[in-house]
Amino acid sequence: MENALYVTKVSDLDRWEDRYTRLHFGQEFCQRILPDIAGLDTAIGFARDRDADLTLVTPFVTDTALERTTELIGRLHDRAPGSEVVVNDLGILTLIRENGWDLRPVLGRLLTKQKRGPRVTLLEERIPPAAFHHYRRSNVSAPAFQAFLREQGVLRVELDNLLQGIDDDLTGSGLKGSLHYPYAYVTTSRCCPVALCGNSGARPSLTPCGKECLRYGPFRLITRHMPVPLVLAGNTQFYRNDHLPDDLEARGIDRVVHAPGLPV
Amino acid sequence: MKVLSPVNNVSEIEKVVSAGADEVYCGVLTPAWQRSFAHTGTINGSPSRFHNLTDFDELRHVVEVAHSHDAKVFATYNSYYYSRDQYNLLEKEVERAVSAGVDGIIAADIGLMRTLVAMDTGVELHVSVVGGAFNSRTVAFYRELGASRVVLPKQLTLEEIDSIAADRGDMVLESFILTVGCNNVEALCRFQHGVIEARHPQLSRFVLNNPLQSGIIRTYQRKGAGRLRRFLQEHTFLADRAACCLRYDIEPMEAMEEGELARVRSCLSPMLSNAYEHERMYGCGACALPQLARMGISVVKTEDRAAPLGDRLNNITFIKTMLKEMERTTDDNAFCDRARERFGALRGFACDDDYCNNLVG
Repeated sequence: MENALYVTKVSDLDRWEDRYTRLHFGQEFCQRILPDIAGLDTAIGFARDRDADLTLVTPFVTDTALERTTELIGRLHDRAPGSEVVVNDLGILTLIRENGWDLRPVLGRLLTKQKRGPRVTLLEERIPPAAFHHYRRSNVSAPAFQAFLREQGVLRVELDNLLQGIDDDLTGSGLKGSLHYPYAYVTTSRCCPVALCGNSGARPSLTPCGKECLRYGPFRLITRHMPVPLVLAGNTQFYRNDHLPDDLEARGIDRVVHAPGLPV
Repeated sequence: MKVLSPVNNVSEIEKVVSAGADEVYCGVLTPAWQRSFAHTGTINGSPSRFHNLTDFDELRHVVEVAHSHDAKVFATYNSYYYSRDQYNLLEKEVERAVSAGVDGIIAADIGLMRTLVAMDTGVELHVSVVGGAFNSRTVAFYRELGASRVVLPKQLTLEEIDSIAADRGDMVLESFILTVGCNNVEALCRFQHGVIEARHPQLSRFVLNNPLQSGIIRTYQRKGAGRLRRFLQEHTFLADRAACCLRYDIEPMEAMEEGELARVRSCLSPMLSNAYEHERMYGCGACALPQLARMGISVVKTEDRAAPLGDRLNNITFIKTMLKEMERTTDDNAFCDRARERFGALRGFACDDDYCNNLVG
């Protein structure tokens, strides 16, 4: 089993431990806090100094951030060819292919569709077994989607560690899986709740952002109607699942992506 | 510019097209699907037994009525994913929808979209809002895949929409109007809706399928009903509504000074139980219609399938009226004033600058 460290900022690189052989660096959920070129260069040097492999993590983007993301990925191609790029946006996936960059695209967890709402665990006794089985699977289980991924040169997918368990089996599909641990993402927004912390009384909005997510939070969101607390970090809600399944490799999941902190 | 609106059951189609809908969309949740995968399975983006047709004869009737009014019908198969075991039944059901005469399929799962293209159904392929087309590159990707229309995400600014539209080529772009006030991104939200129906089937039938629903919701959302609303949310079956409607205690994971924590809680709370915590369930965006038209947006979609029919019909009438108004004036400011005025008459409260303008742009 490969162990990777996932951090979003250069200042978190000190979370590195000897057990890691790969660095995941970047941002999945918000284009506003995407690392800059200098940050990427630092991560590339950091991984090289430790003889570790590198994965650049990219978010879903609007046209506003396409150019910046393109520059970042192009830099990775120049400075660390053969590295991985986690894509959470289909536009970014086509961009890598069309540029012919020597990089390996990985399908990010925003594009591997899993039922992540914790309350699905409450339905096990109330719905047919096949329906609950569906909750343990993802789009990656479908041969039609697997064929698409292979055609796009995507040979690795990222999954979350679901409370209801995982039944995806990637063996024989030509794909390998990475599992995020311990935080599974549940939902995200471009109307960032935490951005309001810097502006009391403001209404939900797409536009104001003073990078409040770097100053406020994370927060536990607790209600007795949810089986586990949610965790709000920046524009995204997660839950924590410390139970790591013991049959991961038998399912074709050969990497655990450790996030010591919330990935904002 | 065309108006696209939802139809939840056969009795609605005549009223929806008579109100002015140029196109309609609907889902079919069959007994066969429910036996295997329940309503929470989910066959499309609305996992509710009360917001879907129940068989393909009903769909055929909807198509006949709609076509007699020169309106198109699109069937929703826009669940954000289908897993391996669902494909066999899914393909059969899509084939039956096509046989019923629909003009297009609205999809979000790439595996299904590729399957539809391979099936050569002869109908249009639309990418649902759940497809997450946030940029022009993604729109180009969907064009390459075989789609002819993309529904744009709600959480885009007008500038971002303009940028996508400028590069759209022959792709038809559709934008939401009168959106529901959920704070999460449809394409990226993994909460499970439909929990309340699975856990409380009888009560749900009463509340969600009740002709008085509109009045109940209005009362529920009224300012003075805050305490009642909170009590109901916390202590009744309503606690099983969508997770984005729940109230949460907010606890910092790192130390915070008490006064600062109180301030932060007051900032966060309204955002975390968003849709039904707002006094108004709907955003608007009507004042942006002239800009959207100039950008090349050719269809606006009124939602939502969970809203009572009366509200949905009023929404169609409102937008159709504004589209006619748009033909009469070239002054955006005058148009905007008119939209605000009519919005106030429609909803019974004034248009909210912050909420409306920031969501739409």
